Amino acid sequence: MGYDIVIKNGRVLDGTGNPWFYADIGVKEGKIAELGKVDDGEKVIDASGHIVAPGFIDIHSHSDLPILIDPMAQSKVRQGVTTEVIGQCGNSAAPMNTWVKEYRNKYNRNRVPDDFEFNWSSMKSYMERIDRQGSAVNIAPVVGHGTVRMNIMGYENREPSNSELDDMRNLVRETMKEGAWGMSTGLIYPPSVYGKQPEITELAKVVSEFDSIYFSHIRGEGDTLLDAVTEACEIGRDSGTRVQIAHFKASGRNNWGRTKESLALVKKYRDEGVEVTFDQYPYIASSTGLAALLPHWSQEGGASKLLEYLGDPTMRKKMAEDMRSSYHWDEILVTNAKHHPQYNGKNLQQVAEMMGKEPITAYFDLLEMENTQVPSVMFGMNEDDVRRVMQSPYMMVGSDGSAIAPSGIWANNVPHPRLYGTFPRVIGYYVREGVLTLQEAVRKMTGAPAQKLGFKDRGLIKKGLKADITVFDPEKVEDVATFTDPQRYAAGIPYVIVNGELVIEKNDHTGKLPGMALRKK
Amino acid sequence: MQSAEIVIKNGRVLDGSGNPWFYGDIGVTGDTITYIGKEVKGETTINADGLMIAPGFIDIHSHSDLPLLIDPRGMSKITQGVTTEVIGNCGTSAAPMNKRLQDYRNKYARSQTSEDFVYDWTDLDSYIKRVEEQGVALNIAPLTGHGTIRQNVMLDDNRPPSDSELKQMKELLRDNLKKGSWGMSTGLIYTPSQYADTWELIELSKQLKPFDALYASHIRGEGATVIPAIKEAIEIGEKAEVRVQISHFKVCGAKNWGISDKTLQLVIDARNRGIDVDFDQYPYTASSTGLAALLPPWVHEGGMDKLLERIKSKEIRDRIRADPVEEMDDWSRLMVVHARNNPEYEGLNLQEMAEKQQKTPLDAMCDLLLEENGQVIIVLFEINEADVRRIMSNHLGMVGSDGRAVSPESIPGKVHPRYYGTFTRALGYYVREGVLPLQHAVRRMTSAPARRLGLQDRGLIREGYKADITVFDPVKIVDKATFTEPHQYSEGIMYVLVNGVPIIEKGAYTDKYPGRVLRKTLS
Repeated sequence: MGYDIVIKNGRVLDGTGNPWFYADIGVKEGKIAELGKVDDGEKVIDASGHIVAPGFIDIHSHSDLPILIDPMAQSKVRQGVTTEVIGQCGNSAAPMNTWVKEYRNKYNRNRVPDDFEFNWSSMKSYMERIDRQGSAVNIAPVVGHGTVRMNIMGYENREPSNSELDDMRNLVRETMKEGAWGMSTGLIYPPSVYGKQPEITELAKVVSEFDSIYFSHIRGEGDTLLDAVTEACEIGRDSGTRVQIAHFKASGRNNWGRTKESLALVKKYRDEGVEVTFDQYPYIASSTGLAALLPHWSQEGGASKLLEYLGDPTMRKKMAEDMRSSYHWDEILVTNAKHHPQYNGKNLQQVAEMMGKEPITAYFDLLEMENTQVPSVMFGMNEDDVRRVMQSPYMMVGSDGSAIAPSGIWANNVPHPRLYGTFPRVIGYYVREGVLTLQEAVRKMTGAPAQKLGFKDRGLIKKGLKADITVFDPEKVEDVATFTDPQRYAAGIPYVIVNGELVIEKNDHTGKLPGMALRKK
Repeated sequence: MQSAEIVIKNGRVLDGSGNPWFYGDIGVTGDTITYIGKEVKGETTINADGLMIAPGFIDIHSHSDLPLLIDPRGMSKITQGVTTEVIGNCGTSAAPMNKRLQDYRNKYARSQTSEDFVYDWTDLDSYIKRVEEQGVALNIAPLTGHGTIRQNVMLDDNRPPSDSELKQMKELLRDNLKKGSWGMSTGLIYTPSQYADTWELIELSKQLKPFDALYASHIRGEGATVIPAIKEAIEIGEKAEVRVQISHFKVCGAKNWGISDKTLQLVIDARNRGIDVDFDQYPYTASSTGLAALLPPWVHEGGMDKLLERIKSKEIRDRIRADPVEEMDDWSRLMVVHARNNPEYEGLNLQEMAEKQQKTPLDAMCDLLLEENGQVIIVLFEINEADVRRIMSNHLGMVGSDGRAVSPESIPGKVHPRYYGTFTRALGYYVREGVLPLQHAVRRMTSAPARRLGLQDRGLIREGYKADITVFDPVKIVDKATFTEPHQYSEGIMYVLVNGVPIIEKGAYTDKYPGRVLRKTLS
């Protein structure tokens, strides 16, 4: 039997937690057609000394727009990622009614090229656009609660009326029917943050009808961490939904060490029967917009209102009083001030010195000058917490980053290095540090997310499954991206196969776009 | 809405991969898992509320070759949740068996059998035929014993094989592999497997490679010589290019306690060099073996007839006394569990037995062997709990009972409690002790051995896989068998399905025989 691709002599880590075994793999017509002894193939890859693993599934990604801007998915596929779960933190591309479309055209333009069109409406039409444009990786979308709320209630900070709640239910149900894999919340971001626990529980019940997942960027990762974990678990319990807590961590110096308590809380709810798991990115800094430090009230009216406040000295004073950030100014790194790239890679202390102003003033000025959109990195975590969370049996790997490239619209960005380094950092640095065994690390990025999502044909190396395969050198695999020089591709991952086609071959992108939008059936 | 013949509802699924549990209803139709999800309707519904649904356990190290012919219910195993046993371990397998070996076994291998039991098969096919005709409750995956092959060709001779003998052994092994054997086992402390040098084992193991089959070894020493013994197993894997399973990985003898860190490191280093070596373990601090195995190799030369003849002699006994094996350092650690003609000694250690008889322990031992025609089973308290835990918490490794499928009715005398409690002890006691997480304990007894064997359709809860399923209560699961009262079934195993048929239902045995002999086929 002639195979399209044969991978020979590699050590197979099949995506379960089992140690490697020797087997050749024959790929044909997009599938793993043979596992064992395989001889001939049109293309033969010698994987001697390499690990052959299922393609990595990034269960927490934000590539909703980036994958439309550049379908090559460079920063992800070069990490070995073959599937991204997008629409996270409450914010998804779809659904998008006219009002949301206008809003995005006005306030999200700094994230997209000038000629970019927000031209979809339903989840279905968004997925069709992906399939039309092509994608290097597979895309599994979830629907954002914030996006659903925007469609129905705009940016209003109040509880929904019964009819609004019904409308939101219907919208969630519609996206589920169209193939979304669950619903996400971003309970620190407007407008998702305006949704209280009962509202989210009601919407999660719709998710439960489809046996899908409730994903949550929880309401607090610092001082209110335990309350926030409890809320996520209770939503799962009360709605009968599986729960995935996003980028599990403890933020802020005074909360370091509290992952002991938050992990115990997860264990307690699991023992009580709530199916809760979580993902993590392997860094001690988080990434978010600078505006996230502002009091919630200041964001209730959306970007236009906030710009008004920023232009008003009285309101500035009020916002300064209500800010509850525990960060020191030098722990906040500006990564992408689009119109003022001289501040990229500088912390707010340095930005203030460059401007010759007080840090708080520099902070407000920068927000104002950048139309409120300033991506940044905040060093708020502790390495011990990162390692403790990583070792939990309930942890999966998720980048919380999007698929970009060091070119085009992103050329001058200074993003969080997790966009380029999450997966190789876990199987490289953290495995070598002895925090995880290699097979556990691989399970947490393949078999575990596939099982959680309910993928029946991906996530393991098994005969008959889709041929999403990542070949890496366990000695050399490494995240190269750093906080100050983040746009650097991972090393030691020479081959990545998506749906039976080589996307990365001998460390280079082939330009192929065999990925597809995955729809939950 | 999906439909299925049997639906297991409301349980928490541990799919065997090492993932934590998730909620999923399991639909079974025929012998296959046809659906995992929600909204599945079944003709028969099993309510698994509060229970764990796992793949049926695969006992990668079992000795049920004969016991399942004597009692096909497999009671002590199925009550632990075992759905597949890998038999033919430690160098001894039912087949092949030529006329001469048939005669030998009909004479000496009688301690477990009734008077009218006849060893009547010859090759692997005829053994499988006999199992299938009798019926069996659980699946069987046969290995081929190196000692058995050697006995077919050269009896119990303590010498290297001639070229033609080696050729005959290779042919016998290949014949078994063609008929579906999953690999070759050695028992390098047992006669005659122990008479093979490393070269002979490499030559034979090379036959395994084209079949992608396993080399499983009870290595040449587990006490003072454990390190060279592991190195030998690794060397065989390296030179024959086969994967290696070290059986019942342990460190024996108080003098050697604690060196499991070194023995584990040998395995890790070998894997880093690219040799696929792994191991199984039973979760106890005592081992069990035939009393005769304590005698030095030279006493075994020529087989049991000769051994029994030799140990009558005072001179031979003095020779043994002058150069004792390390197990004889402390006779009180050796407990007789099965002596058919002398049941009064069962439960006593050899020191106590000797004092009762007012003999030296060695004389008491030799006399007992003579009275029992060489067939005495003992338990050796020679393993340290810290080593057991260190080995168990290593990320490699599997669970294997090293025991036979028995029942209180089917076997006289005491047995090692591992026959009844291996899997339930790992899932109950050791999980509760925090030595390993539940999902990894399950992985070690399901997908890990399946992968090791090359079983493609068992070992996970997955659509399209065979419906071998064990449903257990994670809170109540417990092994009840003890060293003094071993014939006690485990508790907490609520349902066991083999090929889609419940053999345990609501904790009770159903008298069904859906098991199959699994034959390895080359993909």
